[in-house]
Amino acid sequence: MMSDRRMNMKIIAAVAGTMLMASATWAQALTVDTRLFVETFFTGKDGAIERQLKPAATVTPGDRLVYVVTYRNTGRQPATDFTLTNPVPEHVEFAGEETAGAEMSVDGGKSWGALTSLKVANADGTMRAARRTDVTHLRWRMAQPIAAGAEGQVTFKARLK
Amino acid sequence: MAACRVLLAGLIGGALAGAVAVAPAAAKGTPAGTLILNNATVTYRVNELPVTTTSNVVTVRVQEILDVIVAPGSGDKPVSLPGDTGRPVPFIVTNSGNGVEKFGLTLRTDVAGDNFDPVCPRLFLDTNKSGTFEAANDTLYAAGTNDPELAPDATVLVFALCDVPATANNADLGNVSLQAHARTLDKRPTSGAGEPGTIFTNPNGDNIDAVVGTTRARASAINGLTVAVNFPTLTKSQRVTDPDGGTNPRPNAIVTYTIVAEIAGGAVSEAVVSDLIPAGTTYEPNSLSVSDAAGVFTNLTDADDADEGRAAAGAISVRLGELTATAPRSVRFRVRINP
Repeated sequence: MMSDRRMNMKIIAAVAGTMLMASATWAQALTVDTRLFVETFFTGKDGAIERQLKPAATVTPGDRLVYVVTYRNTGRQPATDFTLTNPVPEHVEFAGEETAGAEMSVDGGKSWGALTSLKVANADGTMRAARRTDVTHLRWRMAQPIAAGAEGQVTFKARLK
Repeated sequence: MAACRVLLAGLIGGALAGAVAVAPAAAKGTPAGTLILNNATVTYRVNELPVTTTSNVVTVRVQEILDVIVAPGSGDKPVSLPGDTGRPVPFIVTNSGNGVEKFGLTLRTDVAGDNFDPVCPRLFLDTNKSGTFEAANDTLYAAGTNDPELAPDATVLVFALCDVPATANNADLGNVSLQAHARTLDKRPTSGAGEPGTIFTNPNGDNIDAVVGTTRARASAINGLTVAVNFPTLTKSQRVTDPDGGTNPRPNAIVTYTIVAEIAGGAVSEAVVSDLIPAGTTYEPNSLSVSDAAGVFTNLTDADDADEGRAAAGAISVRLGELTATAPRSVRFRVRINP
C-alpha cells in the first residue's frame, strides 16, 4: 500500500515536471488530452447492431466523429473556476445532443447557453432557432473545484461535412 | 487577462473562417487532403491565479472518396443519316468524389436494344468548354495519355464521333455506352476489390488515402443516334409553246420543264437533280438554269465545268449542294419536240 502510493507520487511529480518545462508556467496543474474516434455500427454475431469506436487516423465526408477530451489535475492543489472550451473544428458540424453541464455557442464563442435558447440571424435579418449544425463552440464549466489527482472527461459527437 | 483576449480573438477568427468555408465545402463534402484539427482549451485558477492550458492538437486527414457520374448530353439524341460519319454523341462525366481525380473513358457500341451498332473509333473532350463539338478546338482522347482530370464536382463533356452504316433505315436507333472510371481503381488496393469501401493507401504519393464510394467509382450512360432519312421530293411541271404561240405539243413546239426540289424537314447535302431528255425531243442548247433559295434563276452553261449544271444530248444534271426545308430550289430547261 505504501509502496503503491509512493510510486503514484513519483509519476505525478514527473508529469508535473514535464509540464512545467514545457509551459514555463509554474502554476500549471492540469493536463488536457483530446482524441478522435470514428463511430461505426455493424451487425454482431447475434444479429444485434453493435457500436464501435475506432481511433481515427483518416476520415471521409459523412463520418460520425466522437471527440473525447480528458483532463487531469496533476498538481498538488485544486483547480477552481474550471472551464473547458472546444471549438467545433472547421469542416465539422456538431451532431450531438444537449449534454449535462455543456453550454453551446452559435456566434463564435461570444454568447452561450442551451441550444434551445439560442437564435441565429437569417439572411433577411429575422431570427430563427439555432440548430445543431449552427454550433461553433462547446464549453463545460465545473462548479466544483477539480481536486489534485482528479480527472474527468467530456465528449461530443460531430459529423464530417 | 491579455492571454484571455488573445484566445477569444483566436476563437472568433477560427469560427468566421469556418463559416466562410462552409458554402463551397457543403456541395461535395470536405475536400480530400483537408486536415481536420481539434484542440480544447481549459481555463482555471490555482490559488486564485488564472491559468490557461491547451490540449494536444488531434489532426486527421480527409480521405479521397472515389465517385463518378456519367450522363447523356442534354437534349434529344442526335439525328443522323445512313452512311453519316463522325456524328458527335455527347456525354457528361462528373467527378462526384471529393478529390481531384483522373478518369479513364471507354466506349461500347454493342449496346442491346437498338437497331444498329454505330462505329465510333474516336472520343473527343470538349476542352474549350464550348458545349459543342469542334474538331479544331476539342481534344482527341487517348486513354491513359490525356485522361480528363476533374476537381470535385467538375464535369467534362465527351463526344463520341460515330459513323452510321449505310444500311440504316429511317427511325433506326443506334446506342453507345460511355463508361468512366477513377484511374485510382487501376492501382493495387490495400484492402477490398473495388466494391464501395475498398481502400487505396496513398495511391498518388500525396499522403491522401482513397476509398471507393457508393458509385464504385465506375459509371456508364447510354446515348445514341436516331436515323431520320429525309427524302427530297421532286415536282416536275411543263409548259408548251408551239410555233404559233399556242400550247399544242406539236413538232417544233418548245416544252419548258421546271423541276422543284424540296425537303419537308431537316437538310440534305450534295443534292443533285438529274433528268433525262424525253424521247422524241431535243435539248435546246444553253437553256439550263437553276434558281437560288429566293427563286431567282441563273443560266448555266451546258459544259461540264465550274458551274453547277451540265447538259448533253441525253440528260441534264444540276448540283444543288445543300437543300433545306426553308429553301426549295428549282431547275429549268427546254426541249424542242422533234419534227
